[in-house]
Amino acid sequence: MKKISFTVCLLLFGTGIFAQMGLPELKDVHKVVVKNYWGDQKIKGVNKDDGSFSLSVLFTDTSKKHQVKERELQEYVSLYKEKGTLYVLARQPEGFESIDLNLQIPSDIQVVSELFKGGNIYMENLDKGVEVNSFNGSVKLKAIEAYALVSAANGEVDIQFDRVDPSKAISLISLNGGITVTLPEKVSRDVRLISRKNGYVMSQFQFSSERPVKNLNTMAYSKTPIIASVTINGGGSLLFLSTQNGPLAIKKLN
Amino acid sequence: MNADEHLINLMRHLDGEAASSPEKDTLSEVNELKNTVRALEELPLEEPDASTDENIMRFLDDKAQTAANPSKLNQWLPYMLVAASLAMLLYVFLPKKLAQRYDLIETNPDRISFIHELNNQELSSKELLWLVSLLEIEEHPNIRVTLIDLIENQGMDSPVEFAGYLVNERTPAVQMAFLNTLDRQFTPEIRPQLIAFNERADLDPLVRDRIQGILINK
Repeated sequence: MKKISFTVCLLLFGTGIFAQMGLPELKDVHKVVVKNYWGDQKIKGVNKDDGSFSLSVLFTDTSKKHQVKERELQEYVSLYKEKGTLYVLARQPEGFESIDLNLQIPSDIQVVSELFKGGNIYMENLDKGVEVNSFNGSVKLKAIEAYALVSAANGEVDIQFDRVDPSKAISLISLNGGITVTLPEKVSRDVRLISRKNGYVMSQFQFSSERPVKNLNTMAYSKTPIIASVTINGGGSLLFLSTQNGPLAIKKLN
Repeated sequence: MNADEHLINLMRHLDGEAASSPEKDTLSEVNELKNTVRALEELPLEEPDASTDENIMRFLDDKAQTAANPSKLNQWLPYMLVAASLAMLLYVFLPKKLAQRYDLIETNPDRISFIHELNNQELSSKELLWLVSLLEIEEHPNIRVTLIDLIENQGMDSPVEFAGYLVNERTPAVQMAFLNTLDRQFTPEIRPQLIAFNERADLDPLVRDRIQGILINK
């Protein structure tokens, strides 16, 4: 079988380049929606002083190898803006192919991400919250602020918050995989814990609850569901952690 | 001389304006009156209490303000009217039903917070039915999972509706949440829908194991 080859396209999009491509100015963008089928998503927030939007694409197919040039990028990715939202949409796969998206955006933009088939999602330094719907692959989010809603199918969910909006719910659900969330130590939350199978609960926060939590801070996989409602630091907005298969962990930010 | 003429004659003698000397009886009366006046003039002068002045001044000020603002009711009347109008507007326009309140919420995390807060309420069957119907409308997977958890916590059994939604559900984590509930609420009438769901080609292996387990065991 012919070795899978990689075609790499590294292309930086500044406002000027978007303008060259006939796309609108991006100054008033407050939300970015990123969607692809197969491939990784890497999204990094930067200070506005350190740059603006940039996008690089890694295209992989089974048969040929060629350099994707700037003018060809639209063959793989659609970019358009609508009502303050920038859409970055990879094309539907033609045969076996994957398209990795490496996106840099100002950190004060909300991100909505969807990965329809498979790939890993990495995000970093995003201040306005993230919403992720991933089907196969891990979800690793670091230095996130405000809130996160994550739905994953197969893969670990690991999210570290630098700060949270006390009024916003956080919800992390997975079909098959453990969930780890790291929170600032003074965060107050109502916590809903659901681990249906092979689960335990590790928490660096003190739980308050009417009933004891099964397999709490014991690395022993439970064959029966762990379902509990607790509070940390007196309670507050919801922190919802649910997986069909795997452990749950709540850590304190160092 | 009548009484009035006699009194005028006395006053003239008292003031020294009479043309002739008074008769003996009249002189006696004049002297008596003069002594009485003198005695009155020698009485000590009683100074009024200082607080009397203050009370009088306060009374006069209040009178002046009352004149400027005919009544306190009138003074607050515009505010009372505005407040009453606002109350009326709120009564008319503020949503009284959960569905109306929910529709006003713009962001997904806020919708989840709203649903979570309902755990603290005892919901009516009508409200629970609305929550079940919301599963058909709401697109966000995290919201749907939170809804399923709430509906189950409230003790609402909706196997027929849940099975109907399951058939078209795309997100594996939500499919599994439906299946976990349907496993407990199974009724024979939902079997055809579960079979239809099992025939889908796009099911995650974990989900397929779960649905087949339910179909075999029930």
